[in-house]
Amino acid sequence: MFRKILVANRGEIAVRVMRACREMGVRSVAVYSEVDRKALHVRYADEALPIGPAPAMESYLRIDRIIDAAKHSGAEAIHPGYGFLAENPDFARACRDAGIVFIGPSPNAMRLMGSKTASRRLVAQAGLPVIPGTDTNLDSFAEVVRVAREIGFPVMLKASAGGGGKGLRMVASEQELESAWRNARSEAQNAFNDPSVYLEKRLDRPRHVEIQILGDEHGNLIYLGERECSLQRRHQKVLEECPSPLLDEAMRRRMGETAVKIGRLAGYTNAGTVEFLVDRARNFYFLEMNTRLQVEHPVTELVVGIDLVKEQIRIAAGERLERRQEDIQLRGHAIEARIYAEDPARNFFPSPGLITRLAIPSGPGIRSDSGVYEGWRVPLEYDPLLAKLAVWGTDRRQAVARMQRALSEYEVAGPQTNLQFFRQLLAHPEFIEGRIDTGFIDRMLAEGTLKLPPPPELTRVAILAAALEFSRGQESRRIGARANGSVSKWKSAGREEQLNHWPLR
Amino acid sequence: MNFEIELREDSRTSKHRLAIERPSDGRGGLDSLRFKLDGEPIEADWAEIRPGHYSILIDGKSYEARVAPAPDGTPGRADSWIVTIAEYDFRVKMRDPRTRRFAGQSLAHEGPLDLLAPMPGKVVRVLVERNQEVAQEQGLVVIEAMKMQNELRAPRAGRVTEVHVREGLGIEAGARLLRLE
Repeated sequence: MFRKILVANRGEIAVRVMRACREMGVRSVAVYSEVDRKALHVRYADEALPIGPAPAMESYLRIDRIIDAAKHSGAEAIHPGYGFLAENPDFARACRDAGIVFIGPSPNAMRLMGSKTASRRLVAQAGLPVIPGTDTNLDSFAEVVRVAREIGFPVMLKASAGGGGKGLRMVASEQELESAWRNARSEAQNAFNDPSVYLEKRLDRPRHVEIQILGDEHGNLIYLGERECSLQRRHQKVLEECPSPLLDEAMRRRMGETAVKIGRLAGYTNAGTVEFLVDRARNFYFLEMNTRLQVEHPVTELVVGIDLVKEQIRIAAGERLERRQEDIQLRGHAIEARIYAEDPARNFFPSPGLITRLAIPSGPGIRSDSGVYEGWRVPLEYDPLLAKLAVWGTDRRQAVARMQRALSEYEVAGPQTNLQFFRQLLAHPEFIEGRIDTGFIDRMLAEGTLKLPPPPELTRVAILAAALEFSRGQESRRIGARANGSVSKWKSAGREEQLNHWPLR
Repeated sequence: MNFEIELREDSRTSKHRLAIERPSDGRGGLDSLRFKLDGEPIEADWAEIRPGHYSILIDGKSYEARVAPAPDGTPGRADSWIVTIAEYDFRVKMRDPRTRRFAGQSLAHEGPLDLLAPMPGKVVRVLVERNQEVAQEQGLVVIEAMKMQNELRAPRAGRVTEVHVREGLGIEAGARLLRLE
């Protein structure tokens, strides 16, 4: 086993990996940019090294500096987290060339599955289902028009090197195609340094269901159930659950076995995720493979009872999988919500800044993976994910109730967050019934939350609260206002009213 | 003081009358106030947990209410609030009937309109030019922040009379981007 691991990432995922290291008795090394000196992952790590200025291009994406930091610290392995260099085969190769173990698949498997078009080709050639579209990059607009006409609108334009919704556009008609093509290419260039895009048919209200796979370097490859990630906004997942409310045992096995076949085709090792879209008739199609730990991995951990990061580390150290396929059982239900610093009132615009207050829910069945703390200033240079809130319950109904309860306890002041959005989502009758698809959130935002009207007495509470806030502003301006003055008779009456409700009266 | 209240939750709105009375000796702060809603006194026990956050006990029930100024309120004037209770967001507008209208109402419909940056970031594209006529919802400027590109759209139709930014420029929150007339 390794004695020291460098974590080439920041935020909640860096802390998550370091937690596994600490439990395994492995020392952790953080790297950080200039704005992250006081970030949680730096404080949490056993050792920490600076790697450059705030822009990721000059720090968290600098392969040379990260390899230097690993050598300097004496780390024997690097965990890339997700994002940044996690799916960059050049980074995996640079680690190997420097004699450092990259905790992830081989550079070849990453390169193959990291190209959306090459992986589609691989899967289609094996006779496994893929979504209709192109399996080559489209470099001229004329070709884009030709293919789009051929497969029929609506279509999706996707970055070949993509992920996380970057460089991705839904195109409803030919008029929108040109500007969408330009924007997708420019976004892909910015995000991945590669403007290539390809086309896919857009399915009608599909669901996103993905399979977690895990393989060692001795030929063992298993699947660990699925995650339903249909709740997305701007093609970014916001809430995930395990198991999927859609799947039964037979479909789970079919999808799981397909995912393992795809993993074998790619010569895949370590943790990976095979993503599928499921259409209205419950046919599933290969979408892409993510050659890394997923943001939403905690829901699998909670239901399967496995620590995926520790498994990743053990596999990278050359150990064999301890469990066989038949040992894998799903138990209960887990849901995860991604808490972002963004402002729902301003079209979910990122909202960085000082966290003036942070109260994280606790109690039975709650898991918090946070990368922030009260007093931390969320920088504007990086992804706005603050933390992940995951809950476990014996079944979906209990997990939903627990998530509602946890969200009611969660409080973040300073940056705007999507917490209130989640409270409304969790109250939505169709979500509660599990009737979801990838367009659900956009429809919910357009049509309103469909939640029940508030109990009528909340009208009085809301107006009173506003009146109090208004009055507080007035009071603070008044000269001679004193806090120790007389108590309102009506407020006294309110207190007596409470006593009347008290059963021990 | 008397106020007209407009309350909105989701698509539902209602109107109310609110009276805020303070004791004649002018002392006592928040605790001494009396509130009458639609003529009925509000019998409640309230406690300020911290600024903008109240614990309210009313009819034996316990509520936590958080109050923030509404984005469409008048800057520097407390007249429009978002009150969050559990999963509900209430928009509460308070109008002093003597001033005749809800301040903050006029912004979107008349006069020149400055498009401001909602947060710090970098301008990646300017989609319009000076003197260009734009439609409502037309994209104007694309800003990148926290790895996300965000297109700012025209809140209403108009003519672009000033452009204050160019591509590649770093901007602060609240920076003027362009003006619509």
